[in-house]
Amino acid sequence: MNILENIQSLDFQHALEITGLGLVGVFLFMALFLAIIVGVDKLFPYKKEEE
Amino acid sequence: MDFATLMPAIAFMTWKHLVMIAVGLILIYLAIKKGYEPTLLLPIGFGAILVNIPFTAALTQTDPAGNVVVGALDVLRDAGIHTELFPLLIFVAIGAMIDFSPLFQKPTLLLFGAAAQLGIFITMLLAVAFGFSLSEAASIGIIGAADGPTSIIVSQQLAPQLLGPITVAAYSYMSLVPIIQPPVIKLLTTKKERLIRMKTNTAKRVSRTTLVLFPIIITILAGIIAPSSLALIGFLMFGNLIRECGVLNSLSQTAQKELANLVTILLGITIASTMTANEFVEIHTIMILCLGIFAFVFDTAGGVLFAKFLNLFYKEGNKINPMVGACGISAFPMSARVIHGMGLKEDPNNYLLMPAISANVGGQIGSVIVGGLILMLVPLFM
Repeated sequence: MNILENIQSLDFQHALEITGLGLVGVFLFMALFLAIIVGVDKLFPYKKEEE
Repeated sequence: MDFATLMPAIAFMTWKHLVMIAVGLILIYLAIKKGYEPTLLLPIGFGAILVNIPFTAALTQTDPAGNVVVGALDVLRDAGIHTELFPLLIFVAIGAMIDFSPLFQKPTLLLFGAAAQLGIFITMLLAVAFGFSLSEAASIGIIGAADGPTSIIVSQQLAPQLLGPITVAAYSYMSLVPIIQPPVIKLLTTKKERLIRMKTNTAKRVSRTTLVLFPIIITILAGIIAPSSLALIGFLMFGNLIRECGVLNSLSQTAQKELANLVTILLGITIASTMTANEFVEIHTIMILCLGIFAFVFDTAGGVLFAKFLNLFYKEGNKINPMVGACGISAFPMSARVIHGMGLKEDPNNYLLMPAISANVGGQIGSVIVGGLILMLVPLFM
């Protein structure tokens, strides 16, 4: 097992790219969901008569 | 007639079989005596014994006449794991169990569900550095999702040969959250930070319309942006819609109880069918188990450090207790309970349960999203 060689491999470069894209992607998704939660909650606020 | 013909199971038993039977016994012990994820570790443990007795009829065998005799566990594996049916059905059950309303009380906590996925990617990089292929490394990293069904689906698609050790690691470490998370959190936070009290708006109520619309909108958006995540997120949200719609209470109860129980029994014992001695007793299994711990540690660190980062911008009185960040992992609700307990230990009047639950629900969504992203991204680079 040659760790240094593996770090210089194409797979490692790809893994780095996936890491970048994945982290940005998951934050974007969650930010979008956050906006949806805030938006839907504002559009349809809780009314007491629902009880 | 010689001994091997009379007692083939004993004659062909190797040390690897014995190791796997011991592993099965240990898993059963941990499930019963220690209470570690018993619903899964017990079936997996028993299944590990079942498939590691040579010539077991539970797996497909060829009889002396050369006829193939199909084993029940292989049938279950083909039907439930290769098709991803079992983990997806578990998602329906989980969806029916989750109450998303805590997220509406402090929606920003949803972001911890993203930050605490850091460990998945760091572990993937480590696994590549240790010589695993990209698809294998991504499957090992997903142990950090702290979400069994997601781990099963991702590894089944990207590295089916590693399904056994990855699943065992995922479920074992989920049960070890109370042991893994506290030292990492203590290492990264000061006493003062752990004493931070968080404002919670427990009086805030969420309308039924909102709770019904939420799973529908999330499914449509996730499907449009990342169709590969749709099976994961869609089944989770379907279960949640059954729960929140208000007209399917009986189905919701069935999904939460009978469906969850039935599929869990089948899932556990079927996963064990991948734990055969020849495939499991390998050096890569030990490496996967070690890398799995790293995934949980870095996930916890990611959530805590993100909370500390956000606190740089929050005014005094609005700051987030960094321990809550650790709940962004998906181990629900165990992680929230652990953090709540840690908070009470530091200050008996500091109740962190609500924000911890909110972040933990965010972690449930985050782990599914990141699973879908990995399924989308990894094939692009292969």
